[in-house]
Amino acid sequence: MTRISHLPASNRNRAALISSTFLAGLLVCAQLAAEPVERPDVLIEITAHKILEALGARCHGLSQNPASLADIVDEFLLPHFDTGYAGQLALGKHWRSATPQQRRQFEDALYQSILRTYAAGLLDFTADSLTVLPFKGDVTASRVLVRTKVLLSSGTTVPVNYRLRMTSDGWKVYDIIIEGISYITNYRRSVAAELANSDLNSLIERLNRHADTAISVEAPE
Amino acid sequence: MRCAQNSRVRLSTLEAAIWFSLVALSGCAGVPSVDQEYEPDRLENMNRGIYQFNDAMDRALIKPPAKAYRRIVPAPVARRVRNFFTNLAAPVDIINNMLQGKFKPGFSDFGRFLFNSTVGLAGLFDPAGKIGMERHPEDFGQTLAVWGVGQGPYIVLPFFGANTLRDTVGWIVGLPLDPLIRLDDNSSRLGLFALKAITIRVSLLPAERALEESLDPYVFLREAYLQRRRYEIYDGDPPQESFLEEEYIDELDRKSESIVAPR
Repeated sequence: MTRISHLPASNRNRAALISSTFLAGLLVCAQLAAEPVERPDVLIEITAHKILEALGARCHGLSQNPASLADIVDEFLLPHFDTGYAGQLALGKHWRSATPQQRRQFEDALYQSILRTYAAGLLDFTADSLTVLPFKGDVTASRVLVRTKVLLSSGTTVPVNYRLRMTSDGWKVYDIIIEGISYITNYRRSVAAELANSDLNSLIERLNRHADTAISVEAPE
Repeated sequence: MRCAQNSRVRLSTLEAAIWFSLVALSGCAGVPSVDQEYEPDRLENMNRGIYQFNDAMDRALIKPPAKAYRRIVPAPVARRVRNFFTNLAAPVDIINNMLQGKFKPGFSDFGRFLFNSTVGLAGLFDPAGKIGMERHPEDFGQTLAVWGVGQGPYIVLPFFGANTLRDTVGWIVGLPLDPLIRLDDNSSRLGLFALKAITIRVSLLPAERALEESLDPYVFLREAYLQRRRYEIYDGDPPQESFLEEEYIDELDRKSESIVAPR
């Protein structure tokens, strides 16, 4: 593993980062012309900070109210989340045979589930505890992995990585990987196990029922 | 602790025999191991039974004290306790780094261990971490994987939970190196084991949300465990699974029908 510092970047570093990002952005822009291109690691950094700041500002009672917590995260996450593609990966071979309506229902249930899990996890974070690790991939690739580390309030550091792909609508996240555990991979395996002795409609129904109960489950203290 | 500090690590005949058979095993196990494709859960029926048992035990005996511990023990104290157990695990990390040929991380962890055991007051504090020396956790299960031993079936052990055959063997091999086992005094050994178990359980509490979200907690835990181990074996950089490279079918369909219909 690469060594990273847990310290927030100093202002000077940040200025350098912003200006170099800006330059890199210009270069990529020049290449692709007219696309609103942003570096994927910068997108993650900005979005994550926006979410954490919003949570910080509305900290009161959030842990008692997972529904409003999810709403806040949703506002920032949804514009950058590729629900359709995530749905396809999670549904696996069953995607082909699913009707468009089933696909939309499934991807929505999946997104809601990711949202609730991710949002609950965020309660343990604070805004300055997030470090986006130096980007190792190729920014001109259509799929990238952005690595971050978060320092939890308990003092442990957790690696949180994001898979993104370039769409006509800019970079979109399609998987979140916490401590090496990919949400999409886990969901895909669970769905495969589930559909081995059930059909897609009853699975979707179960997911929706699940969502109703999950939201009322006690929030992590 | 008195014992942990002084006792040298001696290999008994039994331990030597285990080692010998492991080396032999790794020799004949051949190449494919780590990036083996997904294998089905051959022992699922038995595993599910043990899982149920573990879950019931957890709800009754382990989770309540863990929650109480988190509520009562102030965070800095909990951190000291965690540091202490982490430091005790360092010899296992060091040996396994060496066995995998990762000498630089191994020596770095050795330095960490010396520093934290002395300046860090028997590991209660983590001054090495403060100056940016990261840990390089490696266990015998990971070493076996790197040596080419296949992971074997997924096994749920009573009380200890998710495992693979390879990790179970690795865990047994590592046991004699656990300083707690070498403590002479029965009551302090039991006490420290209980404290260690609680500490581990507390660290798992935040992950419960994801488990509650899952369609089937048994499957979720199995997949999470296997993915996590794969991640650890590859030191945080496992090769990407091929399905994650798939094209987006709907997008292709839209393109081929040349309909621009944003949802």
